[in-house]
Amino acid sequence: MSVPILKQGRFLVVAIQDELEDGEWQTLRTDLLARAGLHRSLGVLIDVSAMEIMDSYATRMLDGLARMLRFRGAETVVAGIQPTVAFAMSRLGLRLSSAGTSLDLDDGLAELRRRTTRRGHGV
Amino acid sequence: MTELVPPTLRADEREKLATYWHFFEPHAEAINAEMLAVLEKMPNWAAMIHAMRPEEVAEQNKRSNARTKAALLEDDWKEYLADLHQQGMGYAKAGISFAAWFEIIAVFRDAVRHRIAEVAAKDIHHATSVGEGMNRHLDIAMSYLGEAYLATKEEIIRDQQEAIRELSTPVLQVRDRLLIIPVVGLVDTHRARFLTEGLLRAIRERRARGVVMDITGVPIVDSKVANHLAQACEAARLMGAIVVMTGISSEIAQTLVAIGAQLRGVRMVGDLQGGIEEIDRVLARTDALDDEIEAAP
Repeated sequence: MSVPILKQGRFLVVAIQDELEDGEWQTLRTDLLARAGLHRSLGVLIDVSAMEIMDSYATRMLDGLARMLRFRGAETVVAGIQPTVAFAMSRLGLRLSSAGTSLDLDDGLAELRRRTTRRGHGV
Repeated sequence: MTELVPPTLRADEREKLATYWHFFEPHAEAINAEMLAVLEKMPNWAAMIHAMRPEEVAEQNKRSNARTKAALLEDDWKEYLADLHQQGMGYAKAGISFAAWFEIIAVFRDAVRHRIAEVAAKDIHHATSVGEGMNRHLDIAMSYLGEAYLATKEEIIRDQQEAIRELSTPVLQVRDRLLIIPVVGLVDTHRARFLTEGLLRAIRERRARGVVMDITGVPIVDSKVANHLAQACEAARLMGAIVVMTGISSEIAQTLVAIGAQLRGVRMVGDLQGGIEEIDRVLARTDALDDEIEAAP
């Protein structure tokens, strides 16, 4: 089942519930890149608060996705990494270098706004 | 409590223990009285002996003799060893040194030895068996007592380690959404884990946006410790918090460079006050930006 993508103004919001497999990541990538282009989105918020595990594969997928979205002109923020997940990731040295991180959706939206605002224009 | 394994004894050893007991039993009361008199004068034991009433002492001796008899005659060591272990732990906790026990043993040996000497002339063979049985008995007793001391010391150390662990990883909330972690003492893998888990839980529960980790109280930082701290900071950042590390001493700064430690993405500020000010500045900037964004047409 594909991951639903919601639109919030100039942003897209996605919630990943479980570990995704290869095919599902592919679908999500394709969908997000297409929609970002279609709506000329400035940012993408990816909520991972329901994910209990984020291994090196998932981290690579997310980071890669963020890099691709940047090429399409959109910033990415990953919201809601859980304490146990953050702990495991840090111990394995997994990093999200191309996306911002936030505690939850609210903070994530605020962070996206900050990252995508242009002085004097606002979003 | 761990199962106390009774000693493995050869048939001849068991015989000698029994021989010893048969010799000792009739003299038990007299020997106990002699021991009491001598120990009363010894600093280590005097206080404890005076704490007990004569009836208590007598009762204790009676029970102790019954247990010893079961062990030496019937090879039933369970209660004897259990009692010995109990005593050992009690005295260890009370701070009586293990060496002090040898004082008691010395007095006991003497008391039994001069009674053996009285009968030695008549039957040297018997006297020798009694002596050997006594020695075996005392060796067994001291070895179990020693184990009890060890077990107690280990338990005390474990408790202290646990206390240290809990003591030194408080997470303090200073402002709305700002946490301070003062790290004190040596940071091993265990403590680093404890610290990190506490920090991450606090970030979520108090919705912290900023964390100041102060390591003024950390005396030694090697590459392992540097890694632990870096991981803690990285995990906090994954949860969206800004992390500042403060209190890195000149020595530690030199060590970190010498070992080529990378604390990437961690902002360093000299002291705690500076660290709080830095986070305030960053958060103020983001708040101002948020206001701008809201106000924009």
